[in-house]
Amino acid sequence: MSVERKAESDVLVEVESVTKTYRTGNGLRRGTPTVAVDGVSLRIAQGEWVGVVGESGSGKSTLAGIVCGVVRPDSGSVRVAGQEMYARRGMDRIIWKTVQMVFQDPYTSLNPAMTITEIVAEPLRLWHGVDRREADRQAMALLDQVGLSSAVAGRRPGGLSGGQRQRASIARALAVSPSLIVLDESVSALDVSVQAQILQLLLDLKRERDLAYLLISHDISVIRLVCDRILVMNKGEVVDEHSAASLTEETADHPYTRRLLSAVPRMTASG
Amino acid sequence: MASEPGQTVLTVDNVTVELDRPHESTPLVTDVSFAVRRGEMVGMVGESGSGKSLTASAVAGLLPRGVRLARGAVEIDGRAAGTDATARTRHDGVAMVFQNPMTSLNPSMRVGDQVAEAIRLRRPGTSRRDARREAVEVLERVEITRPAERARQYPFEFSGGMRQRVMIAISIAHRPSVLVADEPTTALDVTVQRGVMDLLDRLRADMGLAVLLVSHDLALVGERCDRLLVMYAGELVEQGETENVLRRPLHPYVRALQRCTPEHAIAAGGLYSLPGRVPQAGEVRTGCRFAARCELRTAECDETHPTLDAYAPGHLVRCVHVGRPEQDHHHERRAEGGV
Amino acid sequence: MTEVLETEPVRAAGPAEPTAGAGRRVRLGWPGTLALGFVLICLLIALLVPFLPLAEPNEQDLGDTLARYSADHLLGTDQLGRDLLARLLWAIRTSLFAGLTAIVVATLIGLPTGMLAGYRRGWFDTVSARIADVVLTVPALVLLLTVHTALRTGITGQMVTLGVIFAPRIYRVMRAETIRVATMPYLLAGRMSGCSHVRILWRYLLPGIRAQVRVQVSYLLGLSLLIEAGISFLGVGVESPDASLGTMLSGAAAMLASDARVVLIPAAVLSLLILSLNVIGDIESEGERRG
Repeated sequence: MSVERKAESDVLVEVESVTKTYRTGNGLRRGTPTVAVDGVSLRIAQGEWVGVVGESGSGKSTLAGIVCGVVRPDSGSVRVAGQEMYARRGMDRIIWKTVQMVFQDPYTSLNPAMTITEIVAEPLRLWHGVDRREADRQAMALLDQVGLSSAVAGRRPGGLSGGQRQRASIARALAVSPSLIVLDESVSALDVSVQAQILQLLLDLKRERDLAYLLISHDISVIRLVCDRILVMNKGEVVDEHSAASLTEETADHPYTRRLLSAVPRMTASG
Repeated sequence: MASEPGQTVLTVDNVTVELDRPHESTPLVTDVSFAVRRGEMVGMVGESGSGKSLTASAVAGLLPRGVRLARGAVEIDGRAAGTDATARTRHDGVAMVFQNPMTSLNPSMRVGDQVAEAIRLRRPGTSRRDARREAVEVLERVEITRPAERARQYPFEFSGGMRQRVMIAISIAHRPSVLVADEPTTALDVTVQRGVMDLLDRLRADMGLAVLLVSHDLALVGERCDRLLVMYAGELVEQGETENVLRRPLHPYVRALQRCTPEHAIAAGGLYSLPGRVPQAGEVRTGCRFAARCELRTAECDETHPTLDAYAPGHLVRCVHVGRPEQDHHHERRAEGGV
Repeated sequence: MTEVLETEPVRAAGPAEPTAGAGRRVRLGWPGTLALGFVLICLLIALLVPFLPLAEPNEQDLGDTLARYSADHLLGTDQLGRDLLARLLWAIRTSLFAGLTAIVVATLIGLPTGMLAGYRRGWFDTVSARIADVVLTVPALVLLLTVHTALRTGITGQMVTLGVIFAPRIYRVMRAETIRVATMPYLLAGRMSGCSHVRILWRYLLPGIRAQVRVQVSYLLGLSLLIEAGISFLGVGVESPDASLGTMLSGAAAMLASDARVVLIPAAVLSLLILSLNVIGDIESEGERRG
């Protein structure tokens, strides 16, 4: 389990033994508490692509929420660029200048009442105080960068395909100029050809902007393909950590990781 | 069912599905023909917009409102079968399971009762008690442990994989010859997916069930199916034994699709992205429907719409660049040198 | 970065992809077109009636009562010799304005509180829900009679009171709708884009629930017209001799046996107006369910 880590000064996000418990049940009956995330620690360096893989109920989405400042952990600490995230109220708004998120479902993650340009220009105006005309111009440039033509820019999300919407979501996140983008199953709902296009786009953007990504996915193949480092989660805990390049069914030490890898359907490879 | 092993139980003949509008014809599925034999699992793959789900619905007699069968016929166990629910001729030789088992189950009804209801619906004479007893047997057949006990529980007490097993139980309760499974494991974890797929394999071995597996996952159908049907923009582009289609794919789309999968990219050491997207209904032009995205595109591709021709016995492909095997060295050279 | 081949417009491909979200137009059909047309004509009349060359609606001519149609009186006169057309058009104005007063008050109270309760939840949700429950238990007619007797504020006061009575209905629907829309990830995306809570409510939530606002306004406006007619008929709404659809009915009720026309004309207008508003409401909510 030799994992190469970047120098201490490059650490962008530092999650220290966070725990999150959800209580089911209603006001009358206290349901049984469910531990979603149990003592998880995680470091993401500048420009690093970290993947978290796990099955449903592994707590990986809760971890994504914690890193984004959306889910407050019960204990533990999260530091983003040296700042304690859950130290005081309103901290989430400061964190969002550094950490942005792209969601799983491209059909519900864009405001249906706004045009694509408006959606991408909004963070430019609200976070960076750019005036409307300049924001629109920069938004067009961003849309161009994610491969969306000006014909799409004036449309509302309802007129776009799933791949186009996910590109628009990425452009929206980029508009903030974050250092880290959390990708919560962002390519899982897409067809393979579109998925490959989006992954290629993410790789290109990472190279151009020195971005870091945290990719949450149930698909270990996607994670092996693009990530530098893999965390395997099971029942709220990180059970295995591995550098992605060398991970195969043979090199995986943890039995659960091996089980995940062996369950992936094996296509007869083409010659 | 009295069908012999290897006997054809499902025949789909030139099925064309269109939007149900009075004065125009927008085809969504065009001239799809194939057959499935007893005990066979045939995979139908394609991206969203390829028409695979609509074809599956037509086979199961569940074409949704708003579309109609314009041409063609579906035959199950040698008898004609209606393609939409309004025809009221749903064939009892076919059943269908869907992607999301929770929305297909009644949340306020015991699981065993739902299976029993399915049995009584198909055989109205069956007594309530007999149907219940049979329901437990069916639950046992889909490998649900302690079936008598589980039959008395409600769907929310079942995990996703268990619910899908219940759906399969409901589908096979009346012993159909053909099961249409539309993305049955897409919402499930890989480890659970494996269990459900193993179950389908055993059902076709034990009861000779023929399965039409609709999936976007090339690897999954590659691992499980005997034969593959690849759809693109509403038509079949390649069809054949799984071995042949995946080891020696003929259609450029199938090759491109394979190269897009993460598994292939890991092996190849890099991503390949196929540009563009599947044309929507109504955007279909003359010539080959894949031409705009194809790396072998020539003037001929834009002019003539290729037909689905046999390259080898049982291996069909729709591409002007694929000739007969003896002429094919020409094509090989071009593919290697060109790109 | 290279431009990908995604320049062609994506058209919704049949039943597979439902058109989602705002910007969707509801198909009216002929009943809807008729209903909408009728309501718009009534609104136009309500706005323009002071400028129309009409007889004085309250001027009596006891020598010319219950006259038939003539050039002077296009719809004839009523039991007190007043011009029926003038009274009818003024009545539409009075009744519609009264109904709209109630709706505006109900929406001004119900919409923001409902949205806030559904969006923030917590103590505000609990408290506002209890208040709504309490208001809903008050019998409308009893309250309207009490306000009339105690305050004598006229029809405007009555309609403001009715607005308060209706507010919990708007509140409840808007709260439920807001809770539904608030689970959408695009709200969180908006927060991450730097939107304040106010901006989220305005630009993200309101467009998502606007269709339901229209549905509720249509239904409640019809109901307000009915209640206005009812209380005016009882003499606790619009007061004689001013014309409203309610007072026209009450004044002429005795005429039903001798000259039904005087009753039937305002009654028909009232019924058609309420029917039209309900048809519009039904079409809106049907479109909402489909979308």
